Amino acid sequence: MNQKIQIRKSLYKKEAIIVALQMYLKKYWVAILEDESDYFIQFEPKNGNNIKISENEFINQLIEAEFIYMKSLESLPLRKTIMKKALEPYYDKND
Amino acid sequence: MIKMTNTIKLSKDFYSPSFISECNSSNGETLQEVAIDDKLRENANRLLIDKYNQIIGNPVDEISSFQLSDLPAVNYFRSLKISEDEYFISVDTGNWMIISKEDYELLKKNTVNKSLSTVLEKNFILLTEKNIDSYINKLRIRYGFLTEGPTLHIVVVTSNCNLSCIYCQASASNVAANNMNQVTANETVDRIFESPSDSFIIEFQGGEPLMNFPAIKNIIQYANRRAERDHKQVEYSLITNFTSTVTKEKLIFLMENNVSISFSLDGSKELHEKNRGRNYPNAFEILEKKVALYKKIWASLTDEPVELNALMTTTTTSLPLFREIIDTYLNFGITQINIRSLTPLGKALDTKENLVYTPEEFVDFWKNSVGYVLELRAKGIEISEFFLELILTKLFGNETGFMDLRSPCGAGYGQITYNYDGQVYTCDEGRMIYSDYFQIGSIYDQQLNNILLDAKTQSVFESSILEQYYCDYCAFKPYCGVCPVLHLQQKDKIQINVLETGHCEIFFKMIQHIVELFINDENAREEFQKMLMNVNWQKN
Ligand code: SF4
Ligand code: SF4
Repeated sequence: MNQKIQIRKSLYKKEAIIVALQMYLKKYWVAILEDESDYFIQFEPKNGNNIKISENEFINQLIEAEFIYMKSLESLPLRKTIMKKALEPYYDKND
Repeated sequence: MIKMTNTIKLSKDFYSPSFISECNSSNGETLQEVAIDDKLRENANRLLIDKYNQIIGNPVDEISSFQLSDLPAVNYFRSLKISEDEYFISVDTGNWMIISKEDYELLKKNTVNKSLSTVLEKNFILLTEKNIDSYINKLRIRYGFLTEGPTLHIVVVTSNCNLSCIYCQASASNVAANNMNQVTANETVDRIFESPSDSFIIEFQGGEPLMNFPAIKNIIQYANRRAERDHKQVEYSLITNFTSTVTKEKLIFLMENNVSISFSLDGSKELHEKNRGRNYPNAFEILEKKVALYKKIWASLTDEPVELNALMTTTTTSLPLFREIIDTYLNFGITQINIRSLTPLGKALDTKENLVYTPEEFVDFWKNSVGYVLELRAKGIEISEFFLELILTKLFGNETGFMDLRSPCGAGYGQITYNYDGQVYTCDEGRMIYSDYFQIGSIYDQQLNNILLDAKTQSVFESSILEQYYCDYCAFKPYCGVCPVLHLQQKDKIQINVLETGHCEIFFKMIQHIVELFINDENAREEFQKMLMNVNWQKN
């Protein structure tokens, strides 16, 4: 049976929802629908699985996912600078 | 299995002399200066940087918004809740630590106290002026393989085989057209020696490679001459079924040329023979005789302890038999077992044989095997397991060179496969798949450089970079890798949705199990430490 969870757009980013949803992809087909103010996450069980998703558990995942996503975004300039230094030919330590 | 010395090769202009001497003193590793083909080196690095930037945002030139003078800063860390009150957190160099829930919350809010910040700094979770150089250098070593060029050259000298194992894509055949001829063998060696790498391994595979022994002999003799002329170092290995194709003369030649031989051994007599197929009764007895012959010749040539390497393949029948399988290895005098899951390619997918199990079933089998290995070690019996050693080595600070579990994976840039007909593939698995996606050239038409710079090779290379997948949020990313070949086979595309694959489930649980054993089990921890002292890392 399909299940829908409603998430307010003002509270969570779509990217964070995608991160949170990764955990569910093995057991469900997932679709993100939306209107002006909300996202509606639709779960359709794969391979006859009929485990109901706990809405609270999903929201907990989403809170952690929002943190992970924001952290990865904030750290981009730092990561890029470091990777560039690590991968490009070495010229001078103070370069 | 190929034993490698603990040597890292660095190009002179890529690393500063001070960095090289720093590594010499701190890691005790021997560092050599080698000439690297500039175009290739630049290309591999550029590819990774471009891909990295494409994955995580803006083009490379817009990255100046962070200056190293802005430090200290919290590094990008990935976390996993491992118990009610603890988190495992890791950074790109593979450094990790366990942190309490309380401290984790402080870290999330960026409000760490002095004592916590000292520990975080030590583990590179907090980057400061004091540790940033060392962090960058560690990353540079980690990605050092990008500058080497392919170091593993697999030569498929024949697709013929004398057996028809139930899980193998090859069937019993003996057709001359399936053998590599002398012209192709020589051309293959010429392509191999175009590799920028100063030392590499040539590995013979098949079918059953010993069915085309003239090609093996020819390649070794010609490659030895080329190695001397070009001042390169070449090692050999060979994967065989160790049956009637093995003769005294062949073994003497192989041992005299230091060819490291690995043979198939799936477990006890019953299991081993079941897997060899109906056409080959007494396979186990024959194997025992050939191993005895091998040991006798070895003893006549050297005083060194005999080196025996075997490969097992897990089928559904193997699952409850982990003790018997390991005991069989010990009876043969083999002290390392490689609990490999079946590669779901070719005949292994044939549902009639019912060979394939779920990822959970495989992980349970592996955990049981590791448990038994630890039990035996506690009794003083020398035995280890390949993936246990591999993951431990990765967790405790070294990239291993194992190409199927790293990012980017070895396809093309780390290993190359030359088929008997002159076609070139990114890797051996790439040759076995239904699609020609991984066929990246022909030894007759292109030089190795051009094969590697080809768009197809690059797209495979790129598709195995973990940062573009969910892996970028996974705490085990620094120790993991994905396989585009398996993904194409299973999902019909090489862009990977990792969490949908058995591969992710298997490796996530394997790494998690080792971390948990390390934290919670004092005896296991002690054995792990002993194992790490003896790791002589293997290459492919
Ligand atoms: S494949 Fe799975 S375990 Fe490996 S890094 Fe990716 S998400 Fe983590
Ligand atoms: S594509 Fe797969 S089999 Fe080939 S080198 Fe990469 S991980 Fe290994």
